[in-house]
Parts: sequence; structure tokens; C-alpha cells
Amino acid sequence: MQRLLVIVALLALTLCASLNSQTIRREGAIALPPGASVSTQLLPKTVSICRSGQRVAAILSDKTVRVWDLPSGKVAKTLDMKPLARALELSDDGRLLAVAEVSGAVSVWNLDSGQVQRKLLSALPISVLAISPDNHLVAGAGRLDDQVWNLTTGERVATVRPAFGNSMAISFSPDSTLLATADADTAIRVYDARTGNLRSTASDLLLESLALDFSRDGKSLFVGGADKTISIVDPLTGKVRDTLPKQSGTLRRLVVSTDGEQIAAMYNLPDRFEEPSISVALLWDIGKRSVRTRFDKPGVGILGGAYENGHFLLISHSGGEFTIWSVQ
Amino acid sequence: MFTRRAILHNCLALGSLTVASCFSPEAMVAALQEAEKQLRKPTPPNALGPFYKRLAPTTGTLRAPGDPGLPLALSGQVFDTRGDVLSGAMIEIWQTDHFGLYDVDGYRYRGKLPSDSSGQYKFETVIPGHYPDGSQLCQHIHYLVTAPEHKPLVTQLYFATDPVFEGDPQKNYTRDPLIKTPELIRPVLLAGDPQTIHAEVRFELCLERL
Repeated sequence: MQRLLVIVALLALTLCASLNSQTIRREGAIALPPGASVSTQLLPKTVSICRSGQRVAAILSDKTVRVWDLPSGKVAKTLDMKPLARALELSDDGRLLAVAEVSGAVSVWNLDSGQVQRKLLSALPISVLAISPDNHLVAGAGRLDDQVWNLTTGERVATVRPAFGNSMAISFSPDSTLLATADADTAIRVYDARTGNLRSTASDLLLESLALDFSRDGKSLFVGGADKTISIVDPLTGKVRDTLPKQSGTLRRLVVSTDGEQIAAMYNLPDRFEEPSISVALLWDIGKRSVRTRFDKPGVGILGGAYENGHFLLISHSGGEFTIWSVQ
Repeated sequence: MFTRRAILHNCLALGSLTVASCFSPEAMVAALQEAEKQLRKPTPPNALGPFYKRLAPTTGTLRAPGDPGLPLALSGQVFDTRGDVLSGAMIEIWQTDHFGLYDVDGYRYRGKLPSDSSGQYKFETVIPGHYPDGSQLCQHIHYLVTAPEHKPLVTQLYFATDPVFEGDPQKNYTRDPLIKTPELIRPVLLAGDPQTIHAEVRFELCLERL
């Protein structure tokens, strides 16, 4: 009887291993230029993967900004940046690239034409950028405040700021009408993106949130950070509706799937608050409040990801290359 | 402790200060005090996060008996840019423990206190450790200082004895990418005896008016 139980257990383990190997697949790799590296500090944000999963852009130490097509890994654009660019962000469709310079200026590139579409001016350097899904607005968070520009006119349409400190993450709602900020004073604020009028404040969180994303219907805001959890916030009232089970590491990035049923959340290892490299990605089933898939490979740092056709496309880095993974 | 005003009135009474003016000694002492006030430079800001935690307890005692690490008496005075002391300014600090770890589940090494009537504050804590991930970030203590009608100050205190500076913080402060000015690096005074050794650091704070 005992032998039978051991055999059944071994079969079950083999089946589990087989299923796990099917849920994580290596899709390809992008070799970085010799000697070039990418910064993986929390801020400024130096790597961006567009929501559609078609492009990834990064600021490299060789004073270039590169954009690659996915999953081919083919270079779509190389920008010489002297001095080194500070932060960047791709639009959801991968057609626009906003690059913040050390001077404070933000250049918005049209990657179809290869030309700068608009140059925006800020008094202080920007650390994190966002482009509205309709490609009409660009938001930038700096040391003191957050600014929103109209891409068509180049005008600054809104300036907002937390009670103290800066915003760690910013995100537009899917309909481009709202801007959410995860602020260092631990509040989550939602503004009218075109006027800067405050719409709601979530002030129940005790620790800073470092990442946030709207649900695809715009009715929920998912936030997480130093508290190692994901809180689900009502963007209209600021009330925290639910909190997913706490993990052991700080949450650094999160992405909501197109169907709104999953969240990919990326965490540091436990007690490695300041370690720049994100080490663990979990795919959460929101409805079941449970983890569907876990991705962690020793020595592999996670840069971020996007959902594409129901798969989570994850970009990691190690040994001078980016690796593209499909995680389901 | 005598106020500057009381000292000046003593000087007047003892003849070490004489007023030769048609204005009253009272008015002249007030004018002298105003002239003595140095315009202070605001304390340089520094990064806040990402481990600030709201609702820290109101206490100046962050160190528990037996805590590992070198005990630290951290004190200072709060001013505004006109040189006036700010009483009632709320000074909130947070830091890692001796091993370089923040407490994000509770409130160890987190606390806040109002400055007293002469703008003074004091915390009993330990010298924080370096982060355990081998980064070049120096030992530091986070500050958030708020006062009515003044801009909130978010900054960090660094220690001149940090090994990263190799004894020369003026020269080597840029080794920590977050330190933009050596003004935030404070000298360390060792006090006590070999059995009760502790460190003392003063960090004066200056807030800008709104």
C-alpha cells in the first residue's frame, strides 16, 4: 500500500512539473550592445513595455535609448542621448515613446515616422512618465509635482502634487479621462486628467504604493508596494474594496490583463527592499484571489511585462541580454 | 536656559551693553535681536521613500533595551529661514535597524515628536545599518518635518563615520547616488565610557515658509 502511495505521489509530482513547464515558455532573446547595461532602480523608470506587448524600450548605459519589436527582438529605433536619458515610457500601442531628459525636457517620439512629435518642458527632471491610451496626453512625475501636457498643443494642462514627497507611479484610466498617482505620502489620488481637479483620495493605506494600474473597464484601481499586497481601490470614492493575500516581498510593478481577470505582480525577494532587481512574478486570478502561476529563476531579474492574447509576456534580464517569456 | 532677550537685558543692566539712541532700550534690544538673526539656508531635501509608514507613534524612544547596534542620541533644533526657532514643528523619523532592515509590519525605529518651546528635539535610537543587498547607499535616517505655514521638509541624515566615505565625506559623498550635498552628512560624537559607549549626532533643521 505504501509503495502504491509513493508511486501515486511521484506521478502527481511529475504531472505538476509538466504543467508548470507548459505555463512558462521562453520566446526569444535580445542581445544588448557589448558592455551596455540597463539600470533597474525603482526610480527613475528606465524600461518600458507597451501594454499591447509589441515593443520594449530601455535606456542603456551606452547613452542610447533603444526600442525593440517583440517577440522578434529586432531593433525598431535607436536614439543617441547625451547626456543619458533619465526616464521613458511607451504608449499602450507602442507608437509613441516619451523620453525624459536630465534637463527636465520630455521628448515625445513618433516611432512610425521616427521624428520628435513634441518637446515638453518641465522645470525639474521627471522620474516616471505615462501616456494616455488615446495618445493625447503625457504625464510626468518629478521630485515635487506631477504635470500633464496636451500632446496636440504642447500646453501643460494640469499640475498636481501630493501633501509631501513625490509620486512613485502614475497611470491613466483606459478612457484617458483620469490620472491616478501612487504618492509617497501613501495616498492614492485620482485626478481629472485634463484639469487636474482631484476626484478621489484613497488614504487608508499605511505604506507607500509603488505600482498601480486601472482595470480595463476603469472601475477599479489595483495598487501595491511596500505593504506587499495588492489593494483594489474604487477610483471614484477612494475606498479600498479588497486586498489580495500578502506576499513576502515588496511589490514593484503590476499589470492588469486585457480581460481584467488577471494581474501580473512583480516582487522583490523578502527583506531585499532596496535590491534593484525584481525577482518574482506572480499571476493572480483576481476572482479567486489566488496565484495561478509563479515565475522566479535564480539570477534572472524581471524588468516588467504586458498581456498579449491571454498570455503574460514577461521581459527579464541576465548576462547582457533581455529574455522574453510567455507566462500563462 | 536664558533666552537671548534675557541675556541682552542682563547685559544692559550690567553695563556690558549700552544704548545710545533716542529709542527705548526695549526697542533697541528687539532691533538688535532682529539684526542678529542670520538668514538660514533651508535644509536640503532628499528622497522620502519608499518605506515611509503613516501613523508612527509619538515617541522619542525608538531603541529598546538590548537592541543590537550602537546607541544614538539624535538631537537638533528647528528653525525657519529667518532664523526663528520653530516650536511645535512635528519631526518624524524612520530608519532601518542595526542590520539594515526596515520594519514595514510594525513601527520599530519609527517615531515622531513635536519640537519643544525652544525648537529642540531628541530621539534615542541606534545607528542604522547598511542595506543588506550590498548597495552603495549609506546609513541614513529619514526625516519628515512639518509645521503650520511652512513647506514640509523631506530629507535624510547621513553619518560622517559611514565607511562608504572613507573618512572624507566632503570628497566622497557622491559615492551614494542619493546624496547631492555633504550638508546632510553630520559628524558623530562618541560619548560615555567603553561599557556605555553611545553616539551623539546633532541635525539642525530649517524649514521654508509657505
